[in-house]
Amino acid sequence: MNLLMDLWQVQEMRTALLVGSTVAIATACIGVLTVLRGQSFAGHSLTDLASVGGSAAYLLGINQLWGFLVASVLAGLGMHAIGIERIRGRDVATGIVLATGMGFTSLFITLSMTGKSGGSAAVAVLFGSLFAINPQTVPLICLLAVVSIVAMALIWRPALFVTVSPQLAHANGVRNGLINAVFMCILGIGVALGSISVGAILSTALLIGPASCGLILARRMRDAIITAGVLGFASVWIGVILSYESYHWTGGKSWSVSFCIVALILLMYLVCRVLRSLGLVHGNARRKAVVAHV
Amino acid sequence: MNTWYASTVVALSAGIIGVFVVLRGDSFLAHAIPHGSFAGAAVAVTIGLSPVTGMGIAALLSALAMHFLGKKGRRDVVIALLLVFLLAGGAFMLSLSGDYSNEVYALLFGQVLAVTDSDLLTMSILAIVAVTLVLCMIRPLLASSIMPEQASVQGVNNNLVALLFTIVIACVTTASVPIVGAMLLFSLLVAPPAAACALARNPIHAITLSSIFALCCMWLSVALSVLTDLPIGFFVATSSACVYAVAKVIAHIWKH
Repeated sequence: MNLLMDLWQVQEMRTALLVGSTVAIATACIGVLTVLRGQSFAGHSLTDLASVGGSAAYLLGINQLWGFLVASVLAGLGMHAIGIERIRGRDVATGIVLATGMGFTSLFITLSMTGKSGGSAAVAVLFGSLFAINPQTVPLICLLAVVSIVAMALIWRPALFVTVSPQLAHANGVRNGLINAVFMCILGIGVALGSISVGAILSTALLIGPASCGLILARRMRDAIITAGVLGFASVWIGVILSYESYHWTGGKSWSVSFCIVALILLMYLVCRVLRSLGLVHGNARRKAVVAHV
Repeated sequence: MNTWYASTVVALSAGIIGVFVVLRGDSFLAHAIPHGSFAGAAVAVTIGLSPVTGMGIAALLSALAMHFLGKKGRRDVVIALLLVFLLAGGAFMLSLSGDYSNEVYALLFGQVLAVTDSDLLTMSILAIVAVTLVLCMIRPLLASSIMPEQASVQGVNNNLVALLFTIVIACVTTASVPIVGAMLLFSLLVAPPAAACALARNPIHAITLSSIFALCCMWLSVALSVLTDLPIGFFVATSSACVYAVAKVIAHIWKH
């Protein structure tokens, strides 16, 4: 308890914990549907395309959040327009768009490097740090998180229906195209939020990791979302505290906070897999959702 | 000289292997394994080994991990999580070894002018091994990529083929990452072969065309990168995307 009180005194820690927890909860909710829809590759491509926006913003000197947000929402809508999301990453077009995006990222980063020493821009945009967030952007981040959660809640039922059984949903009068487009927008916002907190190419972890743990552990869809939120929240807090405390253990070289969070998430996922293969948990949220709708 | 030779090796091997990546729909795997090799190179730099050795070991290990973990669960989730962890781990290892941002940058986006003779030898051997492996199992590989059910009826072990092919991707990755960088090897593995598949009528044509495309993209990019002093990855990505777009348009015209 003392430790937490100490941490709360530091301005950067307060910002990091606040932003981290909001983002973790928002991305966990979005992630559950992303995993169910089999769109992990799409989510990952969005993060890479978001880094184009992030590096462009870095080059122009604008707040990176705007770069991430604009690039990933546009990219999400673009993917929806080409129809990539249905092919589940099997389409090479996704890959080529993604690779071109990375090419531009490297260009922007090189351009912003000239004159300065080294690739610190690359590190800042791609790997990010919760400790380096400007406190002034906190209200905006919270606002975006709330918007994405509310939007998720609004489209939840039809979106789940479309995911589980597109034909049946269509027959019942759900507008599949509209729902998919709205979901891609929300995914774009989620990716931008993740990018600002753990860095563009690492934000996939926050999106996919806690959500797939939730789906393994929980028996019902609602429980899966709650579990995902709790796990995401926990991984951010433990990660931040580990990273902060590692400064004392390692003699001045603290572990990067993004690494701590990502490593915790992978660990959690592996534990969930082991639990399931031992037969200790029977998460059948996915099957329940199918049965409820069909 | 080393640069030209190395880029030729990379382009040819990526062009040949890429055809199968596209046919099998393994783009995400081809995207993820290079990131594993990034972590390996980072570990090697930190403990003072040659980066190529570290890359080879890490690419192989991550390829095996993705193959075995991905079999039961949802494959894309496993690949995504491992990929991100390896990237973060690589950056973390480099950050422990001190001045790390330049290293990260070079490994991710490529550094074509810094190929040593011994690296070149390792690379060529790996590329030759990968290509020979693919050519040896070309029939079962094609069969299980295009019609997995029928292939297994005819006695092809799909699982073994998938495992071997994952290892092939790991070899090519190790050969190429020092040149084009972890992030952009992917564009060479996917775009020129996809263009070739759009145009060619049989697999042999596709392989030939795709190597030619990859070679052209690679040489053009090296030349442009030397001339303009901009990162090679940018040119590789844009030129191969252009090749793909042009091939798509031509294929569309042929159809009508």
